[in-house]
Amino acid sequence: MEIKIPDINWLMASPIVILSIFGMLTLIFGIAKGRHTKKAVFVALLGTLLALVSNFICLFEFWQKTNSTFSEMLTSDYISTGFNFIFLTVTLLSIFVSHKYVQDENLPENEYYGMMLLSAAGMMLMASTTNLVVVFTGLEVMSIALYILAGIKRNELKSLEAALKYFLLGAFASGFFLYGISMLYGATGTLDLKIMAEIVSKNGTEFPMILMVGITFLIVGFGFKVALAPFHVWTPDVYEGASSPVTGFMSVGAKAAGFAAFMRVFDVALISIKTDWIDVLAVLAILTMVIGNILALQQTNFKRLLAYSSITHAGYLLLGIIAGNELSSQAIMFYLFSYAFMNIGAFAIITLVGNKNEQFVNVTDFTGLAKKKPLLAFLLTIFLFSLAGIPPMAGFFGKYFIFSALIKSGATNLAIIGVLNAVVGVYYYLSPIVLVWMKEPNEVEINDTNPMLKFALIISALGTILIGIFPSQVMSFLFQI
Amino acid sequence: MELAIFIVLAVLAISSAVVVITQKSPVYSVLALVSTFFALAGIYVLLNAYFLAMIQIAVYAGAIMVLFLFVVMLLNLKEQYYVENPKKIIGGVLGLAFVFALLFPIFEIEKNLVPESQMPVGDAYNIGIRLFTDYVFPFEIASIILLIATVGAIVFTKKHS
Amino acid sequence: MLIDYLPLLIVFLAAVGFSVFNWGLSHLVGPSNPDSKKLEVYESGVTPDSDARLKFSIKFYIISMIFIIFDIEIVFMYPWATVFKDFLIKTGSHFIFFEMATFVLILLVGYYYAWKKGALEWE
Repeated sequence: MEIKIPDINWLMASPIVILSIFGMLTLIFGIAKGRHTKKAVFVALLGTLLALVSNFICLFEFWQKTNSTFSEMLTSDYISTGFNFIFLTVTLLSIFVSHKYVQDENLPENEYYGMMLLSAAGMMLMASTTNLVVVFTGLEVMSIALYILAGIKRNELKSLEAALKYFLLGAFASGFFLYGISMLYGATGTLDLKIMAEIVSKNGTEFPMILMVGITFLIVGFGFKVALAPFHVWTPDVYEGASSPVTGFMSVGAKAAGFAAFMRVFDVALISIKTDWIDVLAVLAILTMVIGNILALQQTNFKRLLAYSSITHAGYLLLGIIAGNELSSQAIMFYLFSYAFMNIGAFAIITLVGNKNEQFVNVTDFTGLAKKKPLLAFLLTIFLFSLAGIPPMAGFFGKYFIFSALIKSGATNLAIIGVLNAVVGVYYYLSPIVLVWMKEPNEVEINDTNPMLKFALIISALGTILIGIFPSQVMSFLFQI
Repeated sequence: MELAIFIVLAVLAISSAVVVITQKSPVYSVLALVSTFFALAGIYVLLNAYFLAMIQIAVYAGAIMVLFLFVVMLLNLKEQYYVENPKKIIGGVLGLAFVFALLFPIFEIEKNLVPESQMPVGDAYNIGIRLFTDYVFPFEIASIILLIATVGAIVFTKKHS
Repeated sequence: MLIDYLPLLIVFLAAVGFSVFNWGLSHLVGPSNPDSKKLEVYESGVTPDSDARLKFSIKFYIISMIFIIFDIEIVFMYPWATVFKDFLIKTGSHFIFFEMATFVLILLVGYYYAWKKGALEWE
């Protein structure tokens, strides 16, 4: 029988391949001598920068075109290049933020940076493919590396508990996801999302019920990964237990990768039967936003506060998926790009104030920060304003684009509910700011930052502000509108 | 004839699975799980997936069950650690609802089945051809998953320095 | 093709049947007079005072985990070996070799890592 070798476009695959190779190099850099090395971080940085450069080259080379390679397993369109930018930015910022933390807490460097790069490679895989097999394998690469990262601070019991909870529930959710994929295959006969879109639109509503059951299982699997309610129960414990730089990486990266795959499956492949799944997702979105807001209002631990608020952000992003038009996919990418800067900035400040062993991560430990370190307080204010959605920061425009996409698709009621939830969210974002600026300082000592952490904080703040001032330029350049 | 073999294997698989979750001693559970895997391998053979049946026995019943038994041995799990949990009634009811919800679509799909002559044969040669031409990309990604799993096993088990 | 697996079924039934038959026969026909002294665990005449479990070192577990990883690698090599020659003949390029070389190289990185981190030490 006929055997055909697949065509391979190495330029299209280059960001993922470069990042994976450098991830493996970081893993084995300097372990021949048998003791810990301090230089693995530079290999990781080099790898991320090279992958970023190659992604820019891909952006110019495949401008406004859609191609695929590896016999249709890897695609390059505006979604994949845009999401690759998001993941590489997240990785770069996280490496800068973790440098001091890894040295102070004596974490194993090779494994830490290696798993970060490989997890980012898995995220890029999830966003750059239209075949469900690659979505699943990319999901597994990302998730298993994140389970290891969550528990890498081995002498801290909370960290191990976080890793165990994440692993058990994540493996179970991956099982649901795979079951959903198999049912989708049984109903349509193909695993390729583009072919599935044609088959689904041709057959209209006469579909075997197993397609609906498969979609339900997929929603369960996705819902866990991006922390939608009622699948959000792991999020506060895992985010609180894991080390702060890892939490920053995990909160943006895993969410972005999950939403990239979610977007490809629901807004591209299953868009024709939208009336069937839109009610379920609308209920989930409302539940997510409301539960995230209510529970965030009661938190005293800053990390748990940001964890519950990230559940709410997942609700807003889900509204973007419900909208399902072209504007909404760009809105989701813009939101996640700005979310990367503001969330990692916030977690960088938590890393700094938390000190050794993360002792000081309660909201009350930030009291009077303005008197001790005014620049830090100013940066924290920028990040929290942006998360709350106050103009002219980037967060405002992210929410604005999503709500306008939602109104354009006709779901005005959902947009109103979204805006109301955003208003409620402002309260728990602003109350730490009141503590920081208005109250007297407490005795918490803040050590000096190292240059990398300062650099990351400045980049995050600049990103948050500049994306807010020039939103359309960002959209047209990075996301190829 | 195939129906008879299928019924025997299915009964064996389900009864072994019930034994897995109801036994108090963890070693009995693990051994019943091995029996479940053997029954599943038989069902794979009935579906023309010969390679998958071989892998099921070699990897699952061979390596992974050994790992389970090592964990039981390391943690020294005994019968008296078993705790009666009254919430299992809720779990049982939800599980039955789950099975019930799955039965309707499975019975409905009977009209869309692929005829016997068109069913592909899954022996090592055919799988090899598809694996190394169309699915070469997920194949390489699978090696990265295995690498990450190795790192994970070692990160969490080596001594503190 | 299913009929080719009939010998396997017969061997399986024979193995299970043999052990079940012997155990069942001894259970039914053999005498059974349990006594408290007879039911004690054997320990060369000394009365046992604790159960037989020792504290096992975690090295067993690490070796077993690494065995699974490389067992799966071997499992992937089996269809590769089956199609290798046909690939070379029908496509005329060595693509098939480089695919498996990449796969093995990535797992070799894992092996090198395990070696240098001391996971393969036994004493």
